[in-house]
Amino acid sequence: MSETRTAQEASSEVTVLTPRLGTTTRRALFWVAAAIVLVVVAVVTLNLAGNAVEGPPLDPTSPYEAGSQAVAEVLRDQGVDVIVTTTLDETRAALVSPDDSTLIFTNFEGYLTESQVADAAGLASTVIVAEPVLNELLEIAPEVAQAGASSDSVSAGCSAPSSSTAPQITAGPSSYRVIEPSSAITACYGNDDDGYGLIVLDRGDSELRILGATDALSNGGITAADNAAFALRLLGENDTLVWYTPSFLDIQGDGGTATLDELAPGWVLPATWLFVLTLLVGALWRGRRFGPLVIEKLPVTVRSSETMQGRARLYAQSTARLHTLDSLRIGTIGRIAGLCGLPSTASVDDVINRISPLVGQPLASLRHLLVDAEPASDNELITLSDELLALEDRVRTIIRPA
Amino acid sequence: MAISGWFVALVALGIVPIVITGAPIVFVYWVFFVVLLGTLDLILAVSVRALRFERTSPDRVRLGETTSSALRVTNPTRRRLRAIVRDGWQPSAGAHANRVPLSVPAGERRELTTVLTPLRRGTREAAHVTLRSYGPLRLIARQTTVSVPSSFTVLPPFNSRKHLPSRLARLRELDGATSVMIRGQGTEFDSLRDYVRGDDVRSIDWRATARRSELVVRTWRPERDRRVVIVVDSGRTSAARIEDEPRIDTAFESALLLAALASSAGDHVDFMIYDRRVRARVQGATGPDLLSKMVNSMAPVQPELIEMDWNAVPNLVRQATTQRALVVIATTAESPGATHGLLAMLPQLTAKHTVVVASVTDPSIVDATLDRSSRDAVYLAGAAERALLDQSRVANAINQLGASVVSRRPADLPLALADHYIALKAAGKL
Repeated sequence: MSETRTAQEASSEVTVLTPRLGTTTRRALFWVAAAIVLVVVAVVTLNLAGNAVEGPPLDPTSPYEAGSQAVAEVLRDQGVDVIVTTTLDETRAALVSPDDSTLIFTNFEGYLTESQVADAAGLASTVIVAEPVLNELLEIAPEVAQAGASSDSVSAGCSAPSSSTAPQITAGPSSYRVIEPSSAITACYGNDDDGYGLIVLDRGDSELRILGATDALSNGGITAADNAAFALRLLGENDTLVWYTPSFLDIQGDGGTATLDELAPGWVLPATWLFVLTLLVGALWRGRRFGPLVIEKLPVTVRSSETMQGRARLYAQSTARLHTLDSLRIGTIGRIAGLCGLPSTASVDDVINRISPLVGQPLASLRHLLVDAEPASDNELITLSDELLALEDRVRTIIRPA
Repeated sequence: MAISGWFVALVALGIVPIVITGAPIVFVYWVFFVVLLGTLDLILAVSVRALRFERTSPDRVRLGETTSSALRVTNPTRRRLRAIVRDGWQPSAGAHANRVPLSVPAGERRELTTVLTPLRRGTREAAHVTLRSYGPLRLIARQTTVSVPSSFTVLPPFNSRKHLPSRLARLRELDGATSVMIRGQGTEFDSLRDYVRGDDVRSIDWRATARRSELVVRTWRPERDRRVVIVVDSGRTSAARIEDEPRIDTAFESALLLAALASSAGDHVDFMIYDRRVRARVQGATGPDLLSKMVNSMAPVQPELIEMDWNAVPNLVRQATTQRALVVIATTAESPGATHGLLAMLPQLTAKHTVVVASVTDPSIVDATLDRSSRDAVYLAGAAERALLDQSRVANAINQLGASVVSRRPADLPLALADHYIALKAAGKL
């Protein structure tokens, strides 16, 4: 058939399927706006939810239950100069007149090393260390040891400065015991197990106070028992109170060996950036699709021998050996009958009688193969089917020699 | 917008100044430089929206042949167009090169030829053309898709036409001399000629002999102007692929060869494709027009996943002809269950017409009966024997109803059907 050609003239106006930049922007606008709204909502929600988070314990700027903003504010009202610091250097700078100042610090987060704790403990004439751990105690006050947790309320039972106005305070969370008693050590607020909430060590020109009963200073516990009086007495002794909460800025690098960054030449970092950028641009280059896909309607595919295979699986599953063998026999007998020129209506006996002299096999054995044998196992089935095939081949070669 | 490989290479080239200077800030300068260069290139690229497109595509082509479609791109702008073009033919249209570079100088027009070798019958479409128009530096392209629709029809291949000359020769042999051997119903008187030794003495026309002094015999020729009605089943079973050819395509091949033969022999051919409604019908066409109409009507027809409605077939045949006709039904006669409708309908047709059922057999079934290598193979062989038995049962049933069955593997069916037609013609059974 000769192929004819028709020109399909395009109209003067080109139908462009790709949207213009403006259209794309307008379409994207909604999603960009939606994304911005989502981000704003997420940020606001996170901020609101953030209020529920517990602040760090004994933080003078924290209004949460574990914080100590209450006592700090009351001290400020009372005329005490409360300075909040976050690094050791800052603390050192804040203590302009160490003799007239009180320093209180904690090391809950473990930002400070033992030597830093020791440094801090020697910065002022009155230093309160809140809940020091064993290593720190060994450094600053080897006479004192930890005595486990403590709870309930304890009574003063000593002659420390605060004890007269605060006979009863909340103990806990920890307590300390004196292992080398001396006249320079005053232990107060002891519980039944010889654990004390406050131990004052007189060091001649300075005074070190180990404070275990920090619950008494927290916003949550300040109103219980005589805690308020205890806290104000303890912290408001001097005109200046430096409240030092160590931060990660206190962590010191050891500074000994050079890092990989310092050893590498200067171009390595920008070269890495360039490499990443090249990868990104390369991905854009290879990933950009060349126009939309063209729709192809695929024809249905129906496999022709599906029924046959399904039936074979059914036979195999139910091990229908006799049924399978009979099918094979019917096929073989039919083909042999055709070869011998017998009509399709010929009976099995006719076929057996006809081929017995041809192949030189006794009637009984042919009858066994073609009719009687019942396979008891799959092996027998395979053997019988092979014999059927062999018989058919033999008859074919005898009747129609190649 | 699309990025070229050159752009990626340019970005990577930034390693040179970075290593030489060793300053991190050079990276920022380089990125700025590359972005600037890319933007400049993008601005200088010709906008695809300004171009004009024209497409010339073939009207129709036979499956297996190669054709070409031309796309003319006019560049009315004042800059040269440097582009890569993707002609959006669907995959089965068989476009050879799908991404072609194209350069059109300002104010000129260029033609782009896409060579197409369709893979499937039916209507093959091109939806659009996508262009990447690069700037003079070939760094960044404007990518735009333009709708330039086009389509062409892929006709059935009619591979069996190679058998046509030999069958036509056999048909001619039925004329004249050899047909003198045939007497009886269905042959037409042709002429009288002198007796030649070897002619059947029964064909001597004694009256004519009496008028002349020599022996005269009558000659006969096969009857002409018979009706042949071909019904192709486009239902569920015709979708099955046998030897990588759907049954319906084999049916089309057979129908085309039979129609070519029958129209040469002077018979009238009616053709229809049916499942639950008439998918295609060719009636009253003769000569070359018949084949052309048939291939055109076949081209878009695909098998439907519905059951064939046999009850309507006798009525369809009646609509085609009220005379006695040869009715060829191209369908699947495999399992007794699936051919129930066909068997129930056949008596209505065989009462008046000569009916032939043409069915494609699957040679893999016979192959399966011979493989006894493993346990599963033996069970499969048993099932295959059962399938063959079913086929012969169906064939017997059809024969008993007065129709005949022609079932062969796909490659042989058209020829077998043609031979069956010639045999019927020679026997004067039409």
